[in-house]
Amino acid sequence: MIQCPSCGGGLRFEIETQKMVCDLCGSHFDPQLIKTESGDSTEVGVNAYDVAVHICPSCGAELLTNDANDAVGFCPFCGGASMIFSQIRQQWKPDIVVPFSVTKDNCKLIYQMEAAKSPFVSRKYRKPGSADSFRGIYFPFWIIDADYDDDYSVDVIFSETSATRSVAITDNRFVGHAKGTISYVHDASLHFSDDISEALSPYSLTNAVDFSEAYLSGFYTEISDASIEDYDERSKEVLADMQGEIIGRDSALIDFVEQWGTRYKVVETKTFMPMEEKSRNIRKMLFPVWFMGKKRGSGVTYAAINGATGKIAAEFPLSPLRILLTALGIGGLLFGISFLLPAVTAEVCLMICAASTVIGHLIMERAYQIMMEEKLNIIVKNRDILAWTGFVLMMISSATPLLKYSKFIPFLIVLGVSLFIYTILFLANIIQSGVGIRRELKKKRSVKYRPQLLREIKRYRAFKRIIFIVELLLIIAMVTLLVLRVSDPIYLFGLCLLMVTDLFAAAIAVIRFQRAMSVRRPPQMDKKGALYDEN
Amino acid sequence: MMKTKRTLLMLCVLIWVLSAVLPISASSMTIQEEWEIEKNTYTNPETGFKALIADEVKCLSQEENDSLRESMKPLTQYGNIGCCIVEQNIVDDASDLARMQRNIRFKKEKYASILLILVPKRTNNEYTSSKGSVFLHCEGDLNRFFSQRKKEEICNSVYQDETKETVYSAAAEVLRQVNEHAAEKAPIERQRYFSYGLIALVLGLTFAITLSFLTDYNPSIHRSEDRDIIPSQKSHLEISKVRLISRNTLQQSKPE
Ligand SMILES: [Zn+2]
Ligand SMILES: [Zn+2]
Repeated sequence: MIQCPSCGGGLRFEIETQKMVCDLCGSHFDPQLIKTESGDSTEVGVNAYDVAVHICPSCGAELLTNDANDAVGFCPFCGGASMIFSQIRQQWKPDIVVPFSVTKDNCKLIYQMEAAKSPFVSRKYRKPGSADSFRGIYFPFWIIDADYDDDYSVDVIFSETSATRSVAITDNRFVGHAKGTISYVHDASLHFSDDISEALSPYSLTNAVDFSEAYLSGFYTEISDASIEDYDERSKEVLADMQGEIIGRDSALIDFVEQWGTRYKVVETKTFMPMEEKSRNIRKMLFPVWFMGKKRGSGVTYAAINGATGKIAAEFPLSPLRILLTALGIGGLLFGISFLLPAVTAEVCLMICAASTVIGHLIMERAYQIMMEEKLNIIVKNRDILAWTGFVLMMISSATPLLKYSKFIPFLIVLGVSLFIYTILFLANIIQSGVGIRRELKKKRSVKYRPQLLREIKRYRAFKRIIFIVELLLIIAMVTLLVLRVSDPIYLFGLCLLMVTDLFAAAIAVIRFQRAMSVRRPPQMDKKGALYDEN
Repeated sequence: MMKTKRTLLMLCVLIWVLSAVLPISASSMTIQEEWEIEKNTYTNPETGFKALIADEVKCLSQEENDSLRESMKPLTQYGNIGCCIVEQNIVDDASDLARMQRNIRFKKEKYASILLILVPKRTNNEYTSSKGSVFLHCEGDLNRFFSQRKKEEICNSVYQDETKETVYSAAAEVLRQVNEHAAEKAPIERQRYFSYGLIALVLGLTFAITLSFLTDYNPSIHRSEDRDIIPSQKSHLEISKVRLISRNTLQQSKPE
């Protein structure tokens, strides 16, 4: 506990004023000037401070507070019922700390706005008070500052097209000089999942101050140090990538390239001679995060808000019941409207079912690709091209009755054939993006992504493949029936029913997949009592 | 006094005569006619719907009458049907006349459809300038089978300037088309709830899925462009003195 210099009461850090405030006498103090108890004169004493350690008996998570009497309550990482005070310990001081600047009220507001974005999020995440259990936690981060002061060279390969249509490719080498620092930041906590950590970035250091334990009073600290060696390789990779990116984006180089005019097209830019780090400086930082874990079945969902910028990363499982009720509601409404419409033939019913299921499959495939992009940072190429192709084809087919077809059948065939072509294109795209995603997943596997997630993705992809093949077969059957002019309603309606079933199965699968993606397994202890993170 | 009595008596007689005469003139139908229509009415034993022919102009022979009734029989599956042949007055609107005929012929029935054929009025063996016409008025199931456009299409397909002589062929042709169209529409109409149920289900499902996975509504963790890097420090890498030091032509090709 940090005592008030005026009255001896407990001080806490107030986010609104960025000052230490005493609840007893109401005085305000500058946190940098507050003297703390644990600073004795030994070398260890100067570089360390006292903390009260609270341990979760079910997952082994440790939360640190300034005061042993601070209540901790349930564990934010596994949703366990309580955390138990274990000991007072000396903790090495980090170099810098970024104080909280987002207040808890703001944090709740940000969370509720995010939850309100989707009407299909389970009630558990939307009801009032659902954001009450947010905790202000300082997470440990490593900062690697790499200094550069070096010459580099860039090869820019132009293709040159002159009026006589001859093509020449020229290789131009540029040299330049770069001086400065690039910093790499990574969280040093096992409990702070990497995907959430990435989603909360950038970690702005503009408010960073020299560490003082005064900033921590009233909040929690999480110190499950991952050693800096774990991130050494990755930092070198990222820093090398960044070098190239920064040099390539440099205005001096871009201007130079542009002055060659439009007759030249840049084919390739290659950075040669990567710069050597002149020196590498490693610092440790505490960064503020509003964090909340909610139990969900046997798993847990996390919500985190960057305490400096207010950026949110939260997991909201969709509620299948809500989606189903919405589907039934819209369906009921449409059924009611249908009494105003003339009866339709079985062929028309089949066409509408086919068009609707293909659109439904397309939307679910997009949803999958977006989830992949956002969860695993996989870029899916040509995601929108097919959506547009499909849209245009649909519009063309729907416009065919306007061409005054005296009979209905030719229109149906046109629509059927375009649907057929579209479905094939669609499947081709899925296979193509599937290959891309699989390649990316292989790359990621070794790095850091949750094995459970990879299993889910595999399972979903296998199921989806079956669903798409069934849909394709149904479309082929439909076109065959229409071309052969089979008008027996039993076949046509049977096909409709199969299509609806196929779409329904796909919908259940994609909703299940969304839930599997957003609910993680709680962290668990292994036999030795050490934490391992299967997620 | 006597004068008043006589006036009263005269008034009573007048009222009595009028009350006896007026209903007949309003229905413009003799008891003989009523009886004839009644005799020629067919009642569907399964549905209880009737088919009747009211030939006010008396232009149909008994054979023609029977034949028309025969072709009206299938339509009694869907509701009451009447074929009314009346003389045309210049002022009368065909749809009003059809509704009037429906009320006269099927007073107590809930639904009844009327095929109305108007024959130009003939005075002194000369037709007046008004033309005859064919009009179809539908109620009940038949009304759901026939859109306004379809009704007009059928009526316009027969010769429109009906005289007594062409009435039979016009009526027969209209009834043939009506039968054909109804037979085509009836099964579709029977599947109505099933097909719209399916359509509502599939569209509802697609809409709900679209809503829940629209990018704006999809509540997954959003990807960050600038991971691992502190933006405030990126610009610390300063680039200077970019210059071209060599220029080599790697290859040159001249397509013919
Ligand atoms: Zn005080
Ligand atoms: Zn726990």
